[in-house]
Amino acid sequence: MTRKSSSLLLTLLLLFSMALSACATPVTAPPAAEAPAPAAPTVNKITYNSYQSDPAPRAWIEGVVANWNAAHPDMPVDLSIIAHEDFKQALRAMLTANPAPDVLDWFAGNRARFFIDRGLIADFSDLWEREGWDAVYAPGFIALATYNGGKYFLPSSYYWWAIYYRPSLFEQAGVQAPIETFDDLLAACDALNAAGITPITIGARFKWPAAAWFDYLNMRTNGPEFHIELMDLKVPYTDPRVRAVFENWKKLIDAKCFISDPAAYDWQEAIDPMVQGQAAMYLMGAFITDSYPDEAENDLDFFRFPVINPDVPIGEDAPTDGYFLAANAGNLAGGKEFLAYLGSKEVQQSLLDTLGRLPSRVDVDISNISPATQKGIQLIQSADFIAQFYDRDTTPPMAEAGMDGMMRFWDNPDQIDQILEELEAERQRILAEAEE
Amino acid sequence: MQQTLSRRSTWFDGWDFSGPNVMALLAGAVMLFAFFFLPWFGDNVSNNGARIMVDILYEAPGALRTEALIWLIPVVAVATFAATLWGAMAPEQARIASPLASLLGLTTLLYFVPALGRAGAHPLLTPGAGFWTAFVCAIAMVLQFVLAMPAVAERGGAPRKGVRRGRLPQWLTPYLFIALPLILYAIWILGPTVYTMYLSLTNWDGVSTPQFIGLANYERLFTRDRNFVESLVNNLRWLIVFILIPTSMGLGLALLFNNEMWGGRFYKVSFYAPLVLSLPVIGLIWAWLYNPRLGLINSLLSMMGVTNLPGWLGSRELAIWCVIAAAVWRQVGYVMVLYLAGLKNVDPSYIDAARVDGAGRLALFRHVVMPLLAPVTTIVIVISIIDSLRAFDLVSIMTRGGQGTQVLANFMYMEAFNNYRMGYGAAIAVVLFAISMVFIAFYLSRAIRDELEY
Repeated sequence: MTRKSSSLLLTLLLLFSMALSACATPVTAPPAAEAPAPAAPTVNKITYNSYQSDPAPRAWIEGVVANWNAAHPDMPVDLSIIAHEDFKQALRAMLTANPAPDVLDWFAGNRARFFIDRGLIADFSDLWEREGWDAVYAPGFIALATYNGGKYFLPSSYYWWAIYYRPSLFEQAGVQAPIETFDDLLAACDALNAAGITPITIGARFKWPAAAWFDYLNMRTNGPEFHIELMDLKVPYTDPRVRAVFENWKKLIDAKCFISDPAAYDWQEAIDPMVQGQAAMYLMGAFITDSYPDEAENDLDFFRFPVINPDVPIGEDAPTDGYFLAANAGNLAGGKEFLAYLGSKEVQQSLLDTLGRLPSRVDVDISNISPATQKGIQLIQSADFIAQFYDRDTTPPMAEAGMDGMMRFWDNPDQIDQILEELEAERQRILAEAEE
Repeated sequence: MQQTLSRRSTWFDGWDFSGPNVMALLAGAVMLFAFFFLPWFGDNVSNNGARIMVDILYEAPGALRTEALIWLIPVVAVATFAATLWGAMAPEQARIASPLASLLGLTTLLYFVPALGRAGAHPLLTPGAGFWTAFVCAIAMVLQFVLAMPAVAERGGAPRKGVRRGRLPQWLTPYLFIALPLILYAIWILGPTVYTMYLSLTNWDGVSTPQFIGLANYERLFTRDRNFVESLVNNLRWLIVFILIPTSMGLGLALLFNNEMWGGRFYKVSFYAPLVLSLPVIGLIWAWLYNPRLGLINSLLSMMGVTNLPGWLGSRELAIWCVIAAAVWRQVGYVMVLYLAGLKNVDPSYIDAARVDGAGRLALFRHVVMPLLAPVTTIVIVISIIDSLRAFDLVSIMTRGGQGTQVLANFMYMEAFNNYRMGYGAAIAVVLFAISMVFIAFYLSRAIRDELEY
């Protein structure tokens, strides 16, 4: 009896101590979300997830992080760079994780609002006030950062969209640049086609470059105000004004303005015909120069998207990138410090000097920038209204359905009505979901 | 030995259904239930063991750092139930099983420890129904141990005749060996599967609390979603092509290369090589080949003087066939290797016998080789079906579902991760699962029948 009970006791003791030691970890190491470790001489890491995966921006952000880490050995930044498309998909998981990464890249617009509504993005009005950012950021960007009275977003830079073209090819076909009206654009298509040059290249395999055409055709046909109402799902897609946009688009397709099979190329592949002198124009963001061969850039210029209806104000797409803090951040305090650095004049200046991205701070020195960048700034400053981009301004499912509809329209320009009805059905579905 | 065998005549002979054991069994079952199924009831996220597990383990880079022990909970819940089962099945082992069960039961509370005393510390870790269920079970476990102690001590003193102490009953051994894989399978496959089925009945957006909406997702899917129809048709096309072309080409190549020929090994390797590449790489390579202006295919065609070159991936009619062609290119080598292995196993004496009987090449193939290869053919067809149903990578890389190339898996991914409609995505997953199940059930029933025959 004694031997047995003692062995039993021993087993018990052993198992219990095992269980205790297992318990010990979560008890003694609470998630860092609450109170920062008391009097910790240890390093307090800041995690930062970025989507700057193209070579040039990647090198830049790595440099910024290296500078910070050299100055702050006590709270180094742990940088993860994730490819842009993957980042979009993974963001939901990153934000709902606990702890979430502290600082993240993102862009303004509808996609951010989805997460703010669900309490996943931190309000950093306090930091905004401490840094006095209201005085140094341009008003449009402050408006972009503000939502329901809180500050959720730190705009870093923006870029313009425009029709990029090759002056030498225009000259060859006898086309006058810049093209200022829609009719001139149609005429330019005829002239370029006659010279054996494809007027406009586009790589729409992943659809979004087509959405740029929709944005501009809509803003030039119906005005930016209507465009934003449509993006906010306040107007049905079956509205005759939306139909007019596609009618205009159809005119371009019928005039053989576009490269054949746009969906066969991704946006970078579609640059090739332009470099090789087979295509003359490309409606693209300013980041086209990141992928355009440097040695060919002296024969690359851009102009504002032509006017269609002279009575409506000029709207431009100027997608704004920036940073935000996750509400579930493990190291929110550290994240704010790093954010303060990212929003500083010094970092914005280097972003402009290194990558040519337009700064959102007004106190950045722009006297040394290239003529092209100056022209871009002017393009945006002369606009009456700034939109983000189709897939940033409207909700994700609407953007997906909308861009799919645009590509189907491209292949079957006669099915406008059917496609618009399907888009309207999707809009109704999203509105119904929002009410649930 | 004889006694052990006779004891096996009914499967629960020799189980001990005394009070404490029944109690332990019940508590263990509830514990399992609480972990896997509680999320089905009520909206409180803190109930939601499976969701937390998925979040922590799959999604968050770095999440494992602070709550690394979270995985213990499901393991322990399963182990607790296993211990109670053991106690009931092998009463002579109860002196180990009973305290083990009560300790393991207590350990399930571990997961809730960080939440206790720090209300609101973490939205997922507040004590909710999940905690209270686990708590009651743990108390029951301790109670059963206290109750079982006298009986255990007594039985320990007078071991049953014919059962050697300190040894597991022989029949238990295989179950013990498969216990670990079984537990892992339950956690990683069964749990998420069941949870997906539940999610398909909700409107979960991946962030907020899921709300039960009945069959609305399925209703929309089957009646109002043109993408679903497109995906289904494409999967069907894929399936038919996959059964016909790689199978016949693979068989043909296998028959060709089965004979000794000069450079045979080189050809075999060449056809097998695509299989070594990952699918995204294949997708990229083929996307380059298909490039209408610079791609290899159109360059060759224009060198041959073809004008009016097709747009391949850019053309709505051709795109899906282009993607399937890339998949076939890879699959042929795979099928070839399977058939080559099958041909190696064909006994040459059959073939010699058939030759002696004067069979021609065609008759030899039809009446001797093919029947002998029947098991391989079954495997090849099943693999083709499964591969065609789960097609995702190539579509995702080559077109991202555009140009009429949507397939169910990519459609599901887009709805769940791009459009934040997790519930709807889950419904697509369930439909895909159901379709796969038909084929898998067919295959399994055949496999089991064959197994019994031999």
